Amino acid sequence: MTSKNVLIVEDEKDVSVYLSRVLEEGGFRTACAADGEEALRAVERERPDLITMDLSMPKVSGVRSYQTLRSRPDLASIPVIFVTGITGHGGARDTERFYRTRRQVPPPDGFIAKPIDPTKVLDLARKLTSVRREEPVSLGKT
Amino acid sequence: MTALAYEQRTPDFSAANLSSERLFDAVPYWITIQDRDFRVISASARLIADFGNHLGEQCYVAYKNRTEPCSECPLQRAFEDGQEHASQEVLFDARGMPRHVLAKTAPMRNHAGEIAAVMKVFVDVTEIRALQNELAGLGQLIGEIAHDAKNILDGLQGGIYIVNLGFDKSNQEDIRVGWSMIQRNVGRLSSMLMDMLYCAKRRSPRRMPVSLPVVLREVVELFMSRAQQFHIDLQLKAAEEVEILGEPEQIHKLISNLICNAIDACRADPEKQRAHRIVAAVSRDELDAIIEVEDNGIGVDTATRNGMFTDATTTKGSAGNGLGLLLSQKVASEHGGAITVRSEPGKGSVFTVRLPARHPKSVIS
Repeated sequence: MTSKNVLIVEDEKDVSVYLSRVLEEGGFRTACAADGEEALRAVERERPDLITMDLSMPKVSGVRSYQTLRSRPDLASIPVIFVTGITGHGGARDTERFYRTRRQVPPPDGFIAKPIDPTKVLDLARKLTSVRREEPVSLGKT
Repeated sequence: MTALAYEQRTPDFSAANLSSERLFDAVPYWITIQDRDFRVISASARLIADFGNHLGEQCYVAYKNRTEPCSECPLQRAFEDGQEHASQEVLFDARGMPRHVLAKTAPMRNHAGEIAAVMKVFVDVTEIRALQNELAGLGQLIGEIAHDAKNILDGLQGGIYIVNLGFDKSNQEDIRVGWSMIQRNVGRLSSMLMDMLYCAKRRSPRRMPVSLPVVLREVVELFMSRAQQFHIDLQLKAAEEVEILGEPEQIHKLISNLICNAIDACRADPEKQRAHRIVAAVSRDELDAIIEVEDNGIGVDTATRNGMFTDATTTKGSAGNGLGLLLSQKVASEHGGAITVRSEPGKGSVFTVRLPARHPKSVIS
């Protein structure tokens, strides 16, 4: 079976290396982009099966890049996971609730809260690259 | 004992002795009585002392530097419906300083029951507003630090994860990569904690002669390869000797922060074709030593610029926690100086640090 390709969009190099190694150990191929602009070029080039998108980045934020992706018919079906450190004790669920209630941003396919849990990242990546789900999947801290 | 105090203590004190005019002037509030044309008919002594005598002028001209009435005017509404109204406003005092006030208006009726004037009482809440802003800034700072700490934690966990993979597979390269991630993030954590401790501590710097051109040259040399890595032309202008009294390590840190920010501002500039340049200069005038760091990077808008030295401002995503500028401002103020910034989105920024210069005579002696 051909391994699935994940694009990691993350401006923190060490976090990017971490995510990349976790996913590669789980059998995925990975490519990295350090900001929103680079991400769009990489998506067009790599046509990944999944994108993990950090929300807090310089130049073009993760949310802006995500909106651009969703507005492009040729790219809109690629599942996107938001990766965010902006969570409190509610973990990713806080962020998930926030973004799901914002009309101007369609909900992404999943959320990951920092600090990253490798098992949860792999579970989520496998679910999203095997079957496209109707509802967003959350595997952040609970 | 003053006459007024005596009257207050005297049993046969009569209201006649304490005229309404004296009461009006004794009240420790800013009060105006105004007509329908917004003109100030009367003002309390405290208001005249702080804002100047503007009797006969329109309030919006006298206290707000406006050319027309405010859109939501509690004075106008009191004239219209005969009720009391309240508002939050910003006035400018005789020195041109903004004063945040809570204002309340009340109609004053003549014998016929008609509204002849409206009284407006202002309570000065400038200090409360400043405290509120400080608290809001503190909350933002904590949030930024927590966010930064999560990234550091991920770097550490990532390092440990890769080291463990290296042990499991006897892969020396994984161990080396993972270990360098751990070292780098321990360094970041240590630096972040030192910055936080520095910001939290009140201290007086040691006072030893510091040659600014020497420190500036050191910092520029330190950042030269980083600037070249991103194709930024980093220039040094330090023609004359300028000395201050202070701590060389702290001045080094201050200049490092400014140059590091300037490099980040050039890197963040979406106009990739622009030839980026940073000029770090030192000079002096009659009183002050002046350090200027100018870049032609991304620049910032007015709102970001205004909060730069009071909030944990960052425009760098996860690359910054906003502590750098707070720390720089603290170093400057502990050395008896200050930092100002001019900036325009898309054009760049100039950070100017003014510190009391050591007099040339004392340099010779």
